[in-house]
Amino acid sequence: MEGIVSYGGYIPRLRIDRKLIYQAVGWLNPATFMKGEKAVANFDEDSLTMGVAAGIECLKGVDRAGVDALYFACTTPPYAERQNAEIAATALDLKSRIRSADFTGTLKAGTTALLSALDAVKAGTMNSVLVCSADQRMGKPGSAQEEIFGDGAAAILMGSENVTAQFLGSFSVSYDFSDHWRSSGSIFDRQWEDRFIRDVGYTKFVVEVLQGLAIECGISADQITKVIYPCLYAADFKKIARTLKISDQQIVEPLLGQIGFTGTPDPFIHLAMALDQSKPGDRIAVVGFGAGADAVLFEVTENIEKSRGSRRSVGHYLENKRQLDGYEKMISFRNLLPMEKGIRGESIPPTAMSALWRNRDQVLGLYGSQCRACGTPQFPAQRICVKPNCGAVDQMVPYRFSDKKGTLFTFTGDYLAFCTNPPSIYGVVDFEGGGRYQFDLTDVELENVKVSMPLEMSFRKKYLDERAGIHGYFWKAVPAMS
Amino acid sequence: MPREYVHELKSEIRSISGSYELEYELAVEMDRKTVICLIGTGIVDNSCCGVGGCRFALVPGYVLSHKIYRNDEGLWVSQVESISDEELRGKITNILKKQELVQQVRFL
Amino acid sequence: MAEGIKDKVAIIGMGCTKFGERWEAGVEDLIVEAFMEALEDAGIEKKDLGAAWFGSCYDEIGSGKTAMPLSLTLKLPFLPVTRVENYCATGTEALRGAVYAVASGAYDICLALGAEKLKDTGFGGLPEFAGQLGTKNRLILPTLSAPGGFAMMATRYFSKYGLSPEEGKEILAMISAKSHQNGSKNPKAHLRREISVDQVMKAPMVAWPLGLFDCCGVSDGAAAAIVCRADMAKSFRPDPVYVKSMQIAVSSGEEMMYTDWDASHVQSATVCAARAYEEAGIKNPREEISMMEVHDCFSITELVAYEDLRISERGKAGNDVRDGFFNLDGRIPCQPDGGLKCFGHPIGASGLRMMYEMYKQLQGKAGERQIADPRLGLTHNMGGFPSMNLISMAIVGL
Repeated sequence: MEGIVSYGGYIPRLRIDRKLIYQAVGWLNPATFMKGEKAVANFDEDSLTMGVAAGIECLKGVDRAGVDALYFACTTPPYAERQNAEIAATALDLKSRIRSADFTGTLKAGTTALLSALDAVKAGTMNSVLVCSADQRMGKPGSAQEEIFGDGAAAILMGSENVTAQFLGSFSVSYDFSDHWRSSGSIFDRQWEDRFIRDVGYTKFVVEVLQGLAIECGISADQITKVIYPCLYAADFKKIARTLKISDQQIVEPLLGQIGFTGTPDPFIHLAMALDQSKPGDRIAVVGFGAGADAVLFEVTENIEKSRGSRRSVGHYLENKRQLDGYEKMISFRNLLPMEKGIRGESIPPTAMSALWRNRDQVLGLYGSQCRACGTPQFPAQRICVKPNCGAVDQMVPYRFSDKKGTLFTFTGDYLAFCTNPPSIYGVVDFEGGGRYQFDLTDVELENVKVSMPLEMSFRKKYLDERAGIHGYFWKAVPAMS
Repeated sequence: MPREYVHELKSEIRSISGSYELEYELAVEMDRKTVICLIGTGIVDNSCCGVGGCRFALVPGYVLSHKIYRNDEGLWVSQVESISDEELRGKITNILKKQELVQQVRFL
Repeated sequence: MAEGIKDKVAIIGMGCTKFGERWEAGVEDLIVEAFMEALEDAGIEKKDLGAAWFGSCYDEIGSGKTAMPLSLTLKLPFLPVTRVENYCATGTEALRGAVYAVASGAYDICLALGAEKLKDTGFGGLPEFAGQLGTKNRLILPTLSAPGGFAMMATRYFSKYGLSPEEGKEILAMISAKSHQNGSKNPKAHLRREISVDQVMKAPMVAWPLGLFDCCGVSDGAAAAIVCRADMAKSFRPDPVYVKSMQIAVSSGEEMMYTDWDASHVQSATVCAARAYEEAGIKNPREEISMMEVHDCFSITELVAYEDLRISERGKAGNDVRDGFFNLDGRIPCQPDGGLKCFGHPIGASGLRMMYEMYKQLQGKAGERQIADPRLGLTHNMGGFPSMNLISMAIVGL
């Protein structure tokens, strides 16, 4: 049996009330008004870090050594060259004997990556393939896209053992349908008129793939428990349901008003949410839309309860939120507003790629070492044990800190160190099981930081060296979510 | 505990690493009591470790008796009570951050 | 069996420039100023020098690398000159080099000079830390600044000894006010201005709980010392100052990477102090030390140093501060020249600047700041952060 073994979503903690966007730039195109809020990646998050966060969620309780491939599906990857999937694989501590690939160029890249993963599992060339999907799409200031696009990620582990949702079938169509496009080097989407996208795109392809899927699988619409498909136009979303004879109970309401339209990971986030609420025997159809569409059908197995385990639900991430207090902060986090950093803030020391290579497990994977003689975990990895009176030489074994919880030993809020969102908050983390190091703290406000608070580690963007075109990543401490 | 508060604004107080100024006083009504607040600007332009600055607020506390006498330097003295309740501190902080655009609020 | 450095070497001449924003002076001007004063004070000539040690930290924005800037500027006659760098302890390191060279018997007379030109960066502050910490560290260290690093120690100190933020800040404010009072009496100090505890308390935060007056600044300056064999010192002057101890202790890494350190003290300072007192033959520092210049990059650094140096008991330094124990007229005056906070902090010169004050005080030449009958003076420098650092100490006396 092939299908979904595990899954996990990730929604960044920040939300912006769309009224703030409208207040700031709505005067330009007054018809852009939209209700609700959308999820906004923090200044130190991007598609890659969110994809890793979803991957971490998905891999909880899974043996990482058993993963044979990582596919990263994303239309907004930080690197055009230097594989994003492999950076994620190192952060997720997957073994080096894996296949890694970036799937990009269309919003259906996620479902396509999933189907490719499935093919490999079905063919028996791989046992287990992780698909991470994330996007952080930019809308031009004052555009409808700016209101619509939200940030998020989801990951799905495909495999043939302990399947929680069995693959029943799929149906795909591909068209060069230019509802929206973005050429190499530009950061903003351009799109054709809404009526064209609505009438020729969503209402045609979504219907086409779902009807094709039903025929392929030999079932009718009423035999599917939940149907997930995108459509940014509310009236047409309903119209599609009517055409396909899908009832209100079968529909998975899009999270447009809560997190916005997240792009490539959007079908996976909704699929994860549907799986969170599913029971064995449920059938879930999911559509990835873009350059045509993919439709995939799953049937939930009795493994579902067990698989949820300690994983956080999408609902958990929907609730764990904090309002961003200004539109300008949102666009400055995205580097859309040239901000004065001062002479000191501009100086970014060069990144030694060879040093990064040597230390990749430590920098990207947060690996330290543990002394075989005395058992002390230490970060960064040491040759000579740091424990007073031990000092054993070359007795170290690799030790992973990324999944260890910790407590805050001491901290400060620093108004001098340059930071995109001052004050810069950092502190010393004591890890459960031993080990101590100092880390930046993120996703916190100074007034809520307390000595001894429980923390966990999060893979984040550390710096952007614009001159050298380098996105630097490392781990920061975040408040442990219950 | 009631204590005395001297009403005094300050122009430029210099340290080696920067300077600050206490610009104006402000009364914030809270639960039918008056909270006295001081608004200032700080500049860190020669610290060993960077350049910065902020607008900030100091909150001496509730006014118990307003301007009861003048001290030797001719400055008005009021009787105030410090605010220690965390929730109340939070409320006042939010008001001052929003209304006076300060980045730091400290309760004296 | 090692004997230590006690009474083997004497300081016979010292010089120190005015510290401050010396817009009109380059590092060469500062070097010449400090050197000429020291030379004149010692009553020797350039040709009498056997070797020299040059301390500068931010060579990339100031003097440039190597020992050449010192030699070229002073036209030293092809002397052996060594450049040293050890963060904020650089100046003391230069002195240690010169003192050890004389003690070894290799030379009779040596020069130590520390100079730093910091006001050529276009901003107030030291260059960005990340670039100075090595290729690996810059990939993994947080976005920290020095006030933040020391603020974390203040947070732990307050919580360990049950001080409310207000109580803790008041002690720090008293330390700062004391140094400003002393600095106002010093014509060579960068900042000469008295401040009140209330003014310190009302200043905005730089890195919680450290405020504007808890932090030192950036200054240009240079200081120099000429040292010679103890047995020949009196032939140069009647009042040479003898080196009783010179020690340095560098972090082993256990503070940051092992979980024993409580962050309310500086581990290397406690080790360094023990060694320094032993070398100088001091049994009870609180009774025997007459005065100190400690590294007050931040007020909390000074507070913790009182305890690390065993002048105050653990957790009790605040009481001594309140009692005026460290004031100019107190039992052990601390920062009689104004300290880093008022005299200023040109990194490479600071350790020698501290020694300059101890030297002048011991000779009774400190003017308005003169301490009555001092016998032993102590200097203490700290480079780095509380979690990983190096501490240098010197003890001198008549």
